[in-house]
Amino acid sequence: MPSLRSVAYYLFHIQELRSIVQWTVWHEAVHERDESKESENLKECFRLLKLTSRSFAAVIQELHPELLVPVCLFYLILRGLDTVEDDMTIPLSTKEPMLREFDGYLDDETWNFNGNGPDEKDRELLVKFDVVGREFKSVKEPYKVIIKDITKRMGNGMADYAKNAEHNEKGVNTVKDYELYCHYVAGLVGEGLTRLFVEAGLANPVLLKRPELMESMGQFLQQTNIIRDIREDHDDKRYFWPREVWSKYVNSLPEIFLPENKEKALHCQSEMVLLALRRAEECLFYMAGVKEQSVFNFVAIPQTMAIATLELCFQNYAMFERNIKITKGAACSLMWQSTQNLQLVCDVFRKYARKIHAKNKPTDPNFLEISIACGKIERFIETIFPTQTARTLPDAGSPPPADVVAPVVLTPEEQEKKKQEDAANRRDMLIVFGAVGASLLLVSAVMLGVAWYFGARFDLAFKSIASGNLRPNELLAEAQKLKEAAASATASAAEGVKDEL
Amino acid sequence: MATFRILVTGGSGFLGRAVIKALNEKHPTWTIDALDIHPPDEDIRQIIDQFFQIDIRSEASVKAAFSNYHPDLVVHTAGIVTSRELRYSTKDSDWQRVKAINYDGTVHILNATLAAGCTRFVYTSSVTAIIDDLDHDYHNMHEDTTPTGLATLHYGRSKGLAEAFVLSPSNAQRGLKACALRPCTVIGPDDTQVLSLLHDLIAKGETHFIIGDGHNLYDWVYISNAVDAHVLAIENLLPGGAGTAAGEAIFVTNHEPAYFWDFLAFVWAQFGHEPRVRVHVPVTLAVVVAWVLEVLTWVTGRRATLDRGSVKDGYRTHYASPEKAVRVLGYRPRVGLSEGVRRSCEAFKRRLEEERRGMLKGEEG
Repeated sequence: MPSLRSVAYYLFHIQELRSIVQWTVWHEAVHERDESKESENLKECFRLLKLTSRSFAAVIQELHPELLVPVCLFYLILRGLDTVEDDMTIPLSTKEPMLREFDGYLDDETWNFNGNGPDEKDRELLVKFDVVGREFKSVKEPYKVIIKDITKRMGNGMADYAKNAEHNEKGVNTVKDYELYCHYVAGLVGEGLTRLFVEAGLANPVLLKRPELMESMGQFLQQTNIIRDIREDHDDKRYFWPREVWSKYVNSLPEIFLPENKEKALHCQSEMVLLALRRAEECLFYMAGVKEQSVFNFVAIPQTMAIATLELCFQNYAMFERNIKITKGAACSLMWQSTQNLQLVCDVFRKYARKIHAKNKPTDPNFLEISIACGKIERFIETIFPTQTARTLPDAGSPPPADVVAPVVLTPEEQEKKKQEDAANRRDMLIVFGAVGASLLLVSAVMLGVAWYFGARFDLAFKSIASGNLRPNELLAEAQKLKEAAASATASAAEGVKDEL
Repeated sequence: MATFRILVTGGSGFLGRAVIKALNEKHPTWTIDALDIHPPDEDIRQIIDQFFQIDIRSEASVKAAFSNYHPDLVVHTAGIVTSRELRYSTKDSDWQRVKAINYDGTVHILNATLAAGCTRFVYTSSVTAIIDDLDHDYHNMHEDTTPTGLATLHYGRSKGLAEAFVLSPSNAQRGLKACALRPCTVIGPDDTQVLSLLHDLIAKGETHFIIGDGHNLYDWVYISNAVDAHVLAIENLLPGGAGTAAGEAIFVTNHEPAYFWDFLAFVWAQFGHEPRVRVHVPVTLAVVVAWVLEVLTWVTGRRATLDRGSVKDGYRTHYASPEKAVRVLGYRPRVGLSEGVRRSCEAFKRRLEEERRGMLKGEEG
């Protein structure tokens, strides 16, 4: 049931309500899962997917059949890894080797794990992980290789962080460290997915030659989440914002939440937003290389959500007080636009870049840098979809004058054919004119008939015209005279009646 | 290592001076000469070999200077920049003056260069050769597709004419290897025009108004980056260089298009000024107001701060693609725009402070 508050909200944001209706009623999946052909084991995998992912479950289930299962399993495997890393109740001595050996568990159809703390929200996934292992066995070999490679590298990266006492104590130090962390948890996902897309022939292989593009795809999403989740992470005593950035504004990251540091918090926030925003250009570049519609939807939806979230956070102090997220209406509108084509996605990016630009304040230390980052997004879009002006359009022009048109020479057969065609054309023309004339006559007759039926005096009109009186003024005057005469006649008649009474 | 003799015209100007210094720093073995209507400062005098004090409007004196002079390459930066109200002037007398220096002067220098047997020429054109056409937007313009010859303001028109002459096929047939660089608005610590113009708007209280939606992008370039592009073009054309810049026109910007009003606001912020409110003025309203002010100016003879030209400069989208500069010259800006603005504004503040002290001293004396 929608809350009273959301009812009130959508009453004043009809556009967003429209988006929700539009998305829920009109969205058609490019590909749909065929549950009748799925084994019980696979169905269980999809159930776990829906259990563990709010945002990705829908887009994964609409993926091209070739990649549907591999990507679903890829997601569950990485989620499993994440569930081990996240759980602070697992001792490091258990956790570290588990993370490093996780790719090996994929070959063991019976492996599962019961050691998560009772509060871990995705506990069930690891308890039943053997279903993932069983399904993974039948995945095509090339996909297996990619998934295992990424799992291995991500597991090792996470293990390094888990072991790194300094990181645990002080959080992320430099911007480089921050980007490295994002690389392990998101950049690698981008790489794995891109390799799967290219392997399946659904994306341009050139994407693999420009690794910075797929890296930016992951970085943009992860950095946006890290910015937005600052409050939630603070409540959990975890910090991902790099010291190199926040130390310019506060002495320790928790101080950023103090009311007296409000302005500094916003300055720090815009520097973080700037770091993410600089990735947007490469994200658009990447999406231009995706061929297949369901893959495009799969990569575009999270990206447009991210730029909208970034805009929501920018210059918004509420981000430091509570968990903020874009409204359901806005999300539906974004999903709608992200499931059409690159141009609409570019429009979304331009729209939010301009919104960020409009909120940008000259007193902010990164004011001009943010303006330039937005400008570069606009410039990049301009390289794919140039703004057309009257001058860049080819001149439609007027047809050349008759005398410059070369005379056409026809063979006798063609002449004969042309004659017949001309005759047919003339006939058609006559029929059309005849039909129009007949309709006009009919309509006029009907109108005149109706007028006569209601008492029009055509006889008087004809008489008047016949007597040479063609001007309506005189006709009117005559009518007036007649009317007066009639009135006086009536009056005298009335007098007569009165007298009689 | 090869050594060359380079002539820099406009060697006493904002850009020419900086080109001379950069060339000397990067290629200390080269010989650098300068030509200008004004004598050079002491620091330049120490670097250069020969100096020609010449008015380039006079064909005879240009010819005389080249009579026994054979440089390997000529960098032609000399010219007049129309600033403030002169920029939007429509008077024919103003046009004649601008044309005499920017177009006739270029013709004189180029002809004399060829006559002296030198076939390498770097011409400092300007992005205004295109964007001084205030009736159109230019999004991400590219040298190979953007038409020239539509500029209507005197400055851009004169630069466009001169550029067309420099790059003309007839000159190429005479063996000329010329490159036309088109810098956008240049800022720098020694700049005396752009920052003072923007700084004056604070005192006039004109910083609150944004004409149009404020989403129009615009290009600027920091002086050292513009100089880098010149040095790269010179190296490209000289023997031993790639030679790919010959016959090409190339945009020189900071590759950082920023929203026009954001750049202004950032400059103002350097002087501690932040407009309290931002009023968006619709374009048509601004044009009408500007037109009325122009009429009043014409009637009263007093200068107005607003005219239709400056209104259009404020809402037009004018920025260039970096692609060709990177591909042909390998040019990438080394100083970021915000750093460039900071450096330029610091220098401007120091000058203001010195002026203020000088005035105080004057009063004491």
